[in-house]
Amino acid sequence: MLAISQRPTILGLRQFLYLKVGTGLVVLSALAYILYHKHDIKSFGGTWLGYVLGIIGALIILLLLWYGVRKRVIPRQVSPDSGAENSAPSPRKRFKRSAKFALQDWLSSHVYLGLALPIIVTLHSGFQFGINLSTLTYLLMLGVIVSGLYGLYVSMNYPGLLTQNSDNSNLAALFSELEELDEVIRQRAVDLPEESRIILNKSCELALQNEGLKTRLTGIAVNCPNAAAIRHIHKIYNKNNELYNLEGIKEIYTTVLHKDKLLLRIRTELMLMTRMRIWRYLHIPFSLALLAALLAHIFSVIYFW
Amino acid sequence: MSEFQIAIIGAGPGGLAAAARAAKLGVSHVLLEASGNLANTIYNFQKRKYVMAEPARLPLRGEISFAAASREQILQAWQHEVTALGVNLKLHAAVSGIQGERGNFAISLATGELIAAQQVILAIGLQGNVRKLGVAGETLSGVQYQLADPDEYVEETIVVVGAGDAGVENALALANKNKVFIINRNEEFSSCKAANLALLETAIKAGKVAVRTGARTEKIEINTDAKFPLNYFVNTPHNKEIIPCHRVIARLGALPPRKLVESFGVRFPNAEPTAVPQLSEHYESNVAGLYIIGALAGCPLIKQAMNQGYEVVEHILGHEVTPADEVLLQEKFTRISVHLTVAEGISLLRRNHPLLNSLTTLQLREVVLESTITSPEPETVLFHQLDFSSSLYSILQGEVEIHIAMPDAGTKVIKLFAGDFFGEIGLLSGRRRSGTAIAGKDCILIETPRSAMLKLLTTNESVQRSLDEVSLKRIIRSNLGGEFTEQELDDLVHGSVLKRYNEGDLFFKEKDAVDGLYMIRRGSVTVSREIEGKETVLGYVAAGNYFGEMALLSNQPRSATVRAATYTEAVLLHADQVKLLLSRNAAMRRNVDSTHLKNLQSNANNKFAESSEMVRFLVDQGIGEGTDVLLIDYDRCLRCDNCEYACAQVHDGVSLLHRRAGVTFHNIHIPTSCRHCEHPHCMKDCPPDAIRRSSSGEVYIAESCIGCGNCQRNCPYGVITMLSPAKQHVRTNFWAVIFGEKQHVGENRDEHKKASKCDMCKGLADGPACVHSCPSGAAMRLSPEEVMEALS
Repeated sequence: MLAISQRPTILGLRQFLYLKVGTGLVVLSALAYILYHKHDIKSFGGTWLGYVLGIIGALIILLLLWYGVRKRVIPRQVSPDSGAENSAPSPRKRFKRSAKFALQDWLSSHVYLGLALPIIVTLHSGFQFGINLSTLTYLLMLGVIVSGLYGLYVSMNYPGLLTQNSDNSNLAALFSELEELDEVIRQRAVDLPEESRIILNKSCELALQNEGLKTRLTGIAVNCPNAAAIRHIHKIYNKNNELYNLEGIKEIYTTVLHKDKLLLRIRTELMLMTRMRIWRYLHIPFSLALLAALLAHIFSVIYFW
Repeated sequence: MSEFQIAIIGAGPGGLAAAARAAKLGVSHVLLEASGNLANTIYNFQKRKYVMAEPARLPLRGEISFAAASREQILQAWQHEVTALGVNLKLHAAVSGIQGERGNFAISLATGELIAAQQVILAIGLQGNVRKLGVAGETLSGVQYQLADPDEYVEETIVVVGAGDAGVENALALANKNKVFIINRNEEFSSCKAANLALLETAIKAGKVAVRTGARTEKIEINTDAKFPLNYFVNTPHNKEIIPCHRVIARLGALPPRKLVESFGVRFPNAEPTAVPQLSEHYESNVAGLYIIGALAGCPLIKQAMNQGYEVVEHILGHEVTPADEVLLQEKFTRISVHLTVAEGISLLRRNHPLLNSLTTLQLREVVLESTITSPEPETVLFHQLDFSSSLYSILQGEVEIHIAMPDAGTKVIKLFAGDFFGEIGLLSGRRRSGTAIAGKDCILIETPRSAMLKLLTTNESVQRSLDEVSLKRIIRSNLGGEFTEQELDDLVHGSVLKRYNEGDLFFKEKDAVDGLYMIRRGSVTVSREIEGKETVLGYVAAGNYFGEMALLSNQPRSATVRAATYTEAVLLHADQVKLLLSRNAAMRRNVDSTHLKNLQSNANNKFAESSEMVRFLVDQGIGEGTDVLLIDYDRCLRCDNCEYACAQVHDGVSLLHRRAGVTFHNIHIPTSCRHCEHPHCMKDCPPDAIRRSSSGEVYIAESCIGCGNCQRNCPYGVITMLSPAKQHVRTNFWAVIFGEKQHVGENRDEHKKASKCDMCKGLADGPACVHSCPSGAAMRLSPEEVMEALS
């Protein structure tokens, strides 16, 4: 709805500059492979073509890893015109941010070079795999890329879903709304028979932060005490129990249903957030392992020359 | 008839000091006092009032002691000193007339007695002539203009009008036992002493005093409700309000008792009610031998008046004497290329600073004390176009060139000469400089900072008026782009009105008849139209631009509705005069036509009923007064908080931005982060003047912050935090670094807290770290114009 939202995403940054760079590298590598690869030799990357493609692949990997460093180490380069208040050449310069190589440029290139990487490295391998360090390095690389692809998917799609789900509110506000509902439920449960009171109080004691990883990933809580409370009230209705004042139950029922909707919203938000974060717990360790394997791979190549 | 060498009229601080000096030197003198007390004004102060001794830097001269103390202590000490020195004091001696001049003055008293004197020192102050509210209901019972004993009133609702020292002190004294509102006509508490301000801030924070700023009294009516006898009507920038109350105490200062003083033969420089007599540098009026000191001479501070009393007696006796502030002033004048004595400097200022013409020499000296006088080398750039700076420059000698780069018309050069001032557009609008100022040959300039100018403008109507007049002409010239004769400009200015609008106020509605062309001097407006029954925002116009030309050109009623997006000041040029000029002036016609065309096109392109709500949201969030606002596109934001992390990395481990806090509307999230307002609220009352704006626009807090917390309370957007300067750390743990998890911010002890806020990473080559380190490009820092452009 806003022109702000129509700005290019990290995928389309600078008229797809980094897509073009990635594609260019792939095309050049493929051309070189078609022109110069000798199909009859089992060289395991040991030809000049193999070395060139290997060096390109290794450099790309190092560049991709450097994204992680750049994200954590914030550049603090002092601008040449600072300090002298009156000699700022052009104050307007401050607003031309797109001209600089910002973190989103890093991310855009990270994505496209990361996608180009498996093709280049596969060509580097000459499709020759085995049970060896080189193949382990290759597999680790694929692990990083696959987890990264998942990360790309969630990064592109989940922010919008999160925005929709939170609907101009935020998690803190949802939690405080939840507390208020619990207070209402507790008060209304006071006059009920013990059985119902226990069930309703259990719903109020629900600790969302303690729900397991499964709930976090799926957004579905299997033994949700609030769902149990809803089922319990259904039962009361069906039995038409004389112990209960049905009007009062109706009020509790509305509140519990309201809470159910709220819980769904909170769990959805937590699920989206978890999915947006969790892949990095694969992506980053795989990257570090890849770095180690890559260094070993390079070392062994040089050592056993 | 008794004859004295010196007759001193008024036994206030100035008169006392003069009489004491005369007594000490054994000169024959008489001190005439109308009331039955020494220092009657102080005597009438609230009981136990703590009297301040400002300005702190100024040394005190003479026999009478004075330091900040309670009313009782001061009066007692003075009584004692006057007796010990043998001052010839005559109480209950009201003066009804003075005749003659040096050597043969005849002073007639109300009692009929006549006193002869060779020289007369008039030190009567202003309290005999208190200023009224000037609105309907100003004389109702329960509306009063002084307060003797605050303990008289208990459990009342009391409205105190006036935010000078008297008003603030009354409000504070009443607040213990009553519900008190204090009404400040200005946005800032710039006219009361720093120490009073600090007390007031504490009382406001404790909820003891409620404040209305930018407030104007509309009227006072009798309330038929038995509980509250009065209804006090007030207009504030955000709404109109009726405060039911028991009592209105107006402390609006006092005016010179002009008729009486004129009857002595003393002339006033102009017809302003606040005008004080023109005096020589030795305080002598146009009547030879008649000296005027203290508040009537334009110096309301006790210490100044006492020094003057001492100095004037020394002068009368032929002793060489320089004013107490001479050394401080001389320092200002020696830093320039030509050597000037203070007297030469002041007279240069008087000749060549028309804006300050109406000030007395003493007031001028005060302005100089707060200003900087420079003699820049030729070609020195004083400020650049688009710089943010807000001081006012005046040319005392030489010339200055203003280069205005036009978007598509090259550079326009305006030459200014001695007697001209510049920089008023930046001062008034709080926006970027509209041109580059370059010093010419042999240039001497005086640069007065924003805070001192604002104080001068609020206390001196004629300064305000002359500034308004010149700025109107400049605004018209720069806006309409044509070449005008001085006569045409004068006609336009005389037919124009300066109008003030609060946030949300209507300039005009769709289908209204055309009243003229509006030029925005300060603030900004939204333009909207009724579409399918809903007021839909079509555009946004900021200070430095004009609107209302469409209907003027088409001779149709208004095609859109215009409202103020924040507190706005605009000049309305009368429709007939504008049309007349348009028919005569081709360049202006072209300019207005092209604006008209542009607006027509942009209106045709606009179809965003949806974004109308967005505009309202953004305006509510302060975009109308901001210069640079951090927005996060939540459809892009990965919620990784790398913006906060980057901010902390740049700012000693503390994030000055709170991503999750703040508000969201659709996909636009405005986190708690500084908007770098045009007229920053935080700057309002910073005792050490530590909040500044750099030339590239960042509002930042300098090291001199004393941690009083005024800025934090004044910021409507809650972006200022009080932090101890001890280093804070985030993400010290290896795994936290690797996985980018948030870590608890370090201990933040209560001691030595200082204010900290976003400085937009001032001085960093990559600009704001939050924006530069956003991986997905969701974080943006945009000016209001850029935001509104993005909306269309």
